[in-house]
Amino acid sequence: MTEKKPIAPDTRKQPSKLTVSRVRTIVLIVAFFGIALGLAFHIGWGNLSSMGIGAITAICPLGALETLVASKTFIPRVIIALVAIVIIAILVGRMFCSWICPVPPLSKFFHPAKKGEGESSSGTAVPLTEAEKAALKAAVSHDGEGCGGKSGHHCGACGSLPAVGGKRDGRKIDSRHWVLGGSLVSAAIFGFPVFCLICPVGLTFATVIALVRALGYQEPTWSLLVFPAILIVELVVLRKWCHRLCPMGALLSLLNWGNNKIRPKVNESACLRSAKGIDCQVCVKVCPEQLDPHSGRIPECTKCGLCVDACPSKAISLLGRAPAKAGAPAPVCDEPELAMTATD
Amino acid sequence: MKRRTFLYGVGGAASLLVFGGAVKFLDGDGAQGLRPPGGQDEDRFRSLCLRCDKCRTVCPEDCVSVSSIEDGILNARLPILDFHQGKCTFCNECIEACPTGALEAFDPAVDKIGVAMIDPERCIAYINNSCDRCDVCPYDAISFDAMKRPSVDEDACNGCGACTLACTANVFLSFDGDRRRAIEVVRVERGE
Repeated sequence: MTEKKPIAPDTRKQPSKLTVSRVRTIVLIVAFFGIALGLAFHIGWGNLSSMGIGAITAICPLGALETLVASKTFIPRVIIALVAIVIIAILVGRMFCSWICPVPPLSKFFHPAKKGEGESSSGTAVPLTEAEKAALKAAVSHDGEGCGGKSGHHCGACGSLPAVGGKRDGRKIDSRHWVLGGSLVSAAIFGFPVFCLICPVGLTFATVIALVRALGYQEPTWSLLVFPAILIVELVVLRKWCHRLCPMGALLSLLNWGNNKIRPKVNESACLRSAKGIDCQVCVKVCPEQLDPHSGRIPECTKCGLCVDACPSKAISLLGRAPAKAGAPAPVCDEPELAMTATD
Repeated sequence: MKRRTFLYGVGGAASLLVFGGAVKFLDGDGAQGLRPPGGQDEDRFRSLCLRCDKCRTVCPEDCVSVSSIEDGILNARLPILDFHQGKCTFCNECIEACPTGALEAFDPAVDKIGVAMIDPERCIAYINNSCDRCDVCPYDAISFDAMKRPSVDEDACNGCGACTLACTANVFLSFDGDRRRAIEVVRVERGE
């Protein structure tokens, strides 16, 4: 289900209808309601703690680790499921965070992101500043006459600007990793998966289950109020759950440290910054994880595709290859309207 | 900024330790309810259950329910059997669905979910000898005396809940605000 992606390079003729964000939103909604239906109608495909039918079952890697240290026993089916999910995490890293996890949208609902500050993995595009718009417009419409009208030399001679760099680029240990350690130590000491009790993903579906029990079985319980209350406290009072506290995100990014294959890639020859020397910072500013897709290592990337959607010269792609190489000569200079689509 | 990250990290990790300890402490004497088959070793069960809800959703008899927050913080969201909805047929669906092995292999001829107990003050047969609805035991653990009053053979009973499901006391005959029926399966202490 996470494999659906738009065909990035060919959106130029029918102006960006199918953006990565839209596909991602659809995947998220389908996943959430699919799970909720399963819980309500006893389909039995589980929820994000453990999902699948019969022997083909995915397991929450954090939950699996917690049960291993809590029970101090070697349970083959946990190990097998854990190995499978670890391999997936090595490949796609934190993709779960923006494509499946219900927490970022909830977080956004309760605590809308401030302008220019990424609160969650599904933040909205940051509009270009007036200066950027002017620079882009100049670059596009005065091809051959000057770059931004400043120096008056030819575009090809602009050279390139160094990458902006994101605050959270590279392999870094932060507060979430402490929480990850704390949850494993706590599970080991007290003999039960402690973090599972307060996991916002678990509480989201616990609320759905409480609702199902209340409506379907006439069993209204305090759970129906207490679970969402804890969830709201976590997301509203302890702001920036995903960035500061979530041990799941920490674990997934740790597993992605060694792999750099599936991630947004920049076609440097189409990038305004690298190829044209224009001070474009759209991809860095739009990134909810404060990353720069130009950087060598970005294990915190959730593959949300906001940079892909926002790039004014369509130079970024989530699919292996960088786009706009074949049959797209000088992607920026001859299409003025392209730059403007990023500002809408 | 560095300092803040450190505080969040240490604070978060420490809170989890305190929370784990507090929950364990508040839990006191543990759960009273019945776990699905294979989850009778309560300590083992609690260390492994992820609260994924799969056992509840796969149960074809609908006898797996879920604990609520009223049952305690540690107990909340753990599966619990409710024989008012259905009985256990030992079909193994929940055991096969359990992703962590919290529900382990269960032999209904040897292992017990619990044992049925009769409440003479609610039982219609004890009150006026006019009911034998619980005479449905698949394991012949229920017998009736000369007065047509039922009793349970604790060795034969494995706690499948067929009798509770069949019991009509407190369903519509003598509702008094308490959900308990005249025959209910209760936990047995393990240790063989």
